[in-house]
Amino acid sequence: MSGLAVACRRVVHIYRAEAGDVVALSGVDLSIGPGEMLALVGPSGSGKSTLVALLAGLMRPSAGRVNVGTYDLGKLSDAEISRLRGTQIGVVLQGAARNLLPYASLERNVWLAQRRAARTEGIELEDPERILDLVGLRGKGAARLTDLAPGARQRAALAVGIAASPGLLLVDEPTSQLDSHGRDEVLDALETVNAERGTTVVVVTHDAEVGARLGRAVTIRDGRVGAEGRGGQDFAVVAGDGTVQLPPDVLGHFPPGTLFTVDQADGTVTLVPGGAAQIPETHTGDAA
Amino acid sequence: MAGVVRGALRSRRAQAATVLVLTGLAVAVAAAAPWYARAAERSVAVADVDGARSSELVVRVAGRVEGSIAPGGSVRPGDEVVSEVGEQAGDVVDVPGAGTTVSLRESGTIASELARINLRLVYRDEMCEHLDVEGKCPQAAGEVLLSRRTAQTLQVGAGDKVEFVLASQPPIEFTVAGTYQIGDPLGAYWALTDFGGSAALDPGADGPGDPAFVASDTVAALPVKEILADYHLRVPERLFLDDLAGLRADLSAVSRNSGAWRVTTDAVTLANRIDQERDLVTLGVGVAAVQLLVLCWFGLFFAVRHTAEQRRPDIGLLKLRGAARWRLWYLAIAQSAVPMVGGAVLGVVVGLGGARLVAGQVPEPGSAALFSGIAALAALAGALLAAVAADAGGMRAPVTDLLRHVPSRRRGWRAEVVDLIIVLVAAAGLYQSYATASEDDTSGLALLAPALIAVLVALAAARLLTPLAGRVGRRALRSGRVPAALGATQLARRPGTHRVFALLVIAVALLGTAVGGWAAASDGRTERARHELGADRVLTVQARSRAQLVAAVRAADPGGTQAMAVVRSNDGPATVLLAVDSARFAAVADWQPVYGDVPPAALLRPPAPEPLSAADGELTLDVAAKMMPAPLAPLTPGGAAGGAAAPAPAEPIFVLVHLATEAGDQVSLRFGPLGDARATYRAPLSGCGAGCRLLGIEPVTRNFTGRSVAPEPGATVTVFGLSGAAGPVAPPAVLGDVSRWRAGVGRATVGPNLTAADGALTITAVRAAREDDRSTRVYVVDAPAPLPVVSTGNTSPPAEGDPRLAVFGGEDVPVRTVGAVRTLPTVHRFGYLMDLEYADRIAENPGTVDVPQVWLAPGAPAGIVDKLRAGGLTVISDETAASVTDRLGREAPPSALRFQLVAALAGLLLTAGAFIVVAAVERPERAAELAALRAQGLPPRVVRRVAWGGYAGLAVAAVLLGLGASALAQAVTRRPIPLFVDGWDVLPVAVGPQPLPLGLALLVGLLVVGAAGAVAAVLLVRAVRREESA
Ligand SMILES: Nc1ncnc2c1ncn2[C@@H]1O[C@H](COP(=O)(O)OP(=O)(O)OP(=O)(O)O)[C@@H](O)[C@H]1O
Ligand SMILES: [Mg+2]
Repeated sequence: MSGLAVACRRVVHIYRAEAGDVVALSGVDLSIGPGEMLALVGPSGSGKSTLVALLAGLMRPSAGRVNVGTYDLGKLSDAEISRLRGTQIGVVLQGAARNLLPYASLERNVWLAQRRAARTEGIELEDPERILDLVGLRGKGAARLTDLAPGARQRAALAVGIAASPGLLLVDEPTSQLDSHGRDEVLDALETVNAERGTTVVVVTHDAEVGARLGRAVTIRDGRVGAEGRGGQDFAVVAGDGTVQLPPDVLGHFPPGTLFTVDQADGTVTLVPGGAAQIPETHTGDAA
Repeated sequence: MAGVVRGALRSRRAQAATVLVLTGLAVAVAAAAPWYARAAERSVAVADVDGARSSELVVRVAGRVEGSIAPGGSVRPGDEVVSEVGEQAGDVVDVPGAGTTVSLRESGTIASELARINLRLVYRDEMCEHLDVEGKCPQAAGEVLLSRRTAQTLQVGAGDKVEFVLASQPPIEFTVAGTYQIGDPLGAYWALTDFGGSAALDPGADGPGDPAFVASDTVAALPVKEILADYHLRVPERLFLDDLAGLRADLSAVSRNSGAWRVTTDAVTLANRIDQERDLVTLGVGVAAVQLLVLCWFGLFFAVRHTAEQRRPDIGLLKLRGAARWRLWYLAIAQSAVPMVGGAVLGVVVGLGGARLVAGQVPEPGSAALFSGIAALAALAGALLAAVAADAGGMRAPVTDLLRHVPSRRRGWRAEVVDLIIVLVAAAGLYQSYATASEDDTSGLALLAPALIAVLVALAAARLLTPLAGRVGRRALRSGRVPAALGATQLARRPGTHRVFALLVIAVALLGTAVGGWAAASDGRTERARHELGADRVLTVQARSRAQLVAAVRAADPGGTQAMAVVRSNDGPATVLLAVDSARFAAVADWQPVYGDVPPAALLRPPAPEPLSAADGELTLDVAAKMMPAPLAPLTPGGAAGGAAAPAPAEPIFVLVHLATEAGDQVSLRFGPLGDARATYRAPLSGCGAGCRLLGIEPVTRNFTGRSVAPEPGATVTVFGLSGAAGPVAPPAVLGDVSRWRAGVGRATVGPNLTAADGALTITAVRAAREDDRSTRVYVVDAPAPLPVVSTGNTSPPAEGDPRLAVFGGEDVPVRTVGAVRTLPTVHRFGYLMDLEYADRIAENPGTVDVPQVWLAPGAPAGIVDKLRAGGLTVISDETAASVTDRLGREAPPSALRFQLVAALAGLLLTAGAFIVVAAVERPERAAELAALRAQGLPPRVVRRVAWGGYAGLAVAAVLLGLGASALAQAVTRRPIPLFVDGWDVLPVAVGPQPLPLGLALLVGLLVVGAAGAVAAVLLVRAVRREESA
């Protein structure tokens, strides 16, 4: 299965809770090309996991549209989404252990994850052993999760995620508990999958290095796409509703309610804070 | 997939084992119930047949056949008459396999020179095998076998001639072939006959005499138009056990008019009783089993739901991978189903094995096993359903909830509705059980009432538990009591706790009710056995006479504290007469406090003149006789016996002096013929040894057949003295005291007139409307007349006339009630207690329906029975209070109650198991919380107290509340299973909750539930420690 494209348009998600509703996503616009590798970074509670859950079809967006490949997830029935997760979208949850049945061997776990796809026509499934091989766990098929080192556990979780040869792989915090060696192994495995199968890979991470290594890193801030880094360079992003988030370090200088004048000259946009008391400062950025 | 399930089971061994055990328990009870019920049905029927009165095993067909002087009749051979009876009566009732006997009988009077007795002449098949004969059994026509006491009274022996007189027929001469005593008076052979011993209670029996047995030819040759005939069938016991319906059909002739033949039997009563007992067993066992099953299913549901909590992430994971629904169900249900099926297999083995061990084999093991199998399958199906219901929540939950370890939401509207429905059903059932319950109706609903009350109490308490714990927790927190606060809030927050709490309360309540019912029944049985027997041990004996009975018992127990002679008789079906050796009564009888105060011996045995006694040797009677015209009215005592001279008597006057030996045998001496002048007459007395008791003096004359009869009215005999070799037997002081003499006490007895003056007693014959009522016999007063008796308070004096009782089944004697008690030993409704010796002295004829007994006190030595035998008593039955209790214990109520008890115990174990499961499932989380608090400085002491307070405290609260619910149920509902099938209620049984059984239930509850709570607490403390060190 080749990679799936992903498109989010003005996605809003609100958690209904007893203590009050929480707006987790408040208008996310994001496009991911097929076969692309992308990191979702951002502060804790910014909405990364929520976005991944929406992409996996585990929840429905409160508003906006989420497209995966040719599917509009909001319009699919539960059964169709379930089938999609069984065949085209692989999910690796945060915390390796949550992805595997602890009492079954790795091979069994992989095999179980393939069941839906095995019943679907037109899908060529790989041998569980071969999949374990792909994530660097050759010969560990009979092992249980508890027998493995933390890095290997994360890769085992990865193996389950890719078991059905999905076009989109969603991975939440794969490296958070690992040392640098373990982290490299996991990233290597991800890159192998991406390279060998062309799978679109979305990784949620706190780790800037991971973001840098994946090439494209989208920063989620306060439920929106706050910035994007490519090739080591950071960009602000104009959202679908036309808003642009300033980088936090810049924003820190201006209390809410600060007025700017916006000047544009020679392709450079200059924000000039209004009011005499304020120190004029100039920021520039490329409009995407 | 199977491998995955295996792995899951292996890693959740403890939970799987618990589910296995819980299911095993449920299935074991379900499988045991039908088998147990079948076996118990059989054994109660066996016990019923064993304990049946012999009249319940016998059918009597009574009628008449043609006699020798019937029109066109002739004297037929006896065999022919017998086979005719067999054919005719056999057509009316035919019970396959029943043994049959034919009897022929005719009433008349048998007379010797000295006395005459009304009795019946009887032929019966096989009679010689059931009689202890001295001499020979009659084979030929004209031979007669007399009872020993009849022979005694007639003063005849083997070879002597007697006369048999039928109404308006010339006397027939018979030769006495021998004397008999009935060998097995309580045996089935004598049941429903008029001629047996103590079992021959027939109010219609005419005449006081024992039957005289003759050959069939003798009866056939009697000059009668019709011969009374009986046909007895002895119903095989097998029919009561195996073919009750067939038996009922065979007995359909009972109470139907079958021409000349009338059918009587108590077999239908027995059949009904067996049916009733079987129904009770089935119902009692069934209800207990169903209750337990429902409890099991709920317990399993909660246990499985808690284990399902652990399966939620697994389900979430499969859902995340888009797995098919069946795969989710497979993984979830298989984890419950595999241990359930395993448990079911074990349960069937254990249940059937246990039931076989406890209740024994059943008549049709195949069908019983089939029923057991069906019940076991139903139990398993219920368990599987509970498992499906428990996992259903997880199947519906969204993946994100499943994966995030969010516990399933419990207090939705659905749970409220379920509670509401349960409450409504329970309340409706309770109402229904009241509305439909008549006094002796044992419907299933009435049996369920205690359980329903327990359900209501438990649900209410469980609903209060969470808010209450929350409030306690907050208050404790405010006042700084950390352990209490933590424990209470934990309790309030645990979602499954209040459900398990409710189950525990119900289980404990059921145990309390079961123990209460069982204890009440076992107390009731002991009390009833003690009451029905009257003493710790009772021997039914045969004695030559009542005097011999008293003498033998006194000789065997000179101390007077271990044995007592008793003669039981009946006056009508509902009234028991107890004649006892009253001086020993207080020491020997099992007098229960509920009867009232023990009647003092002095009340029953006021002082009376000593009996007059005569020793062997020559007796001299100083007497004068005078014939006078009959007075117009009875003379007043002391009145002058004046009047015109009468014509000379046709026959001379004799005087009979009646005496009784120490053994009670009667001895009569005849003096005379008397002349007109005062003279002394002599007669030799023998057979008395050291002394015979003087019974009375009777002037007689002879009628044309030579029999002794009362002399003509007006004949007067004056006794001036009666003395023996050693001195006067009746001294002048006694002869001259009219209060020392009395006429007969018989209701119809007329005369004689008595006057006493100057040391002489004058006896005058009087006139009577019926010649037969006339009597000239004078009795020595050596017992109070009327006879003092103590009665049960419910007796009422007769509508007219003096109070009289048919003591010993003979002619009734006047009595005087000197005291009343609530009831008397052995008495069912009405009863009288009297002194045996006094009653024996005042009763004029032997009576045939008395049961001589020896009552023994608890401490009586074993050797006393041999001493009684040596004293001439034959023991024909020997019962102890324990053996009667044991027999009652084999009836239906104890069988059902025993099962209830076992089921209640199983239920308690099961809920305790569910409790442990719930605790095990929430343990990791609680341990983590407490460990975190430990890390923040919570002392280990507090952790321990929180753990113990949370679990052991919950357990204790559940036990106390459960017992409270049980006490409430016992206080407000009727006893669900009657103490006795026959509704016996002579003694008041304790109603309502009793402290002792409740205490016992408390102990068991605390032991089982408390142990479960303790295990949960200990494991939690250990888990916290492990968490800390990790
Ligand atoms: N089930 C929920 N109910 C209510 N609010 C939720 C729920 N899940 C997440 N939130 C809230 O939504 C917001 C976004 O949460 P999310 O888990 O997506 O953040 P995140 O970026 O993944 O954070 P982290 O880096 O800590 O994983 C947070 O404010 C969080 O508190
Ligand atoms: Mg997250």
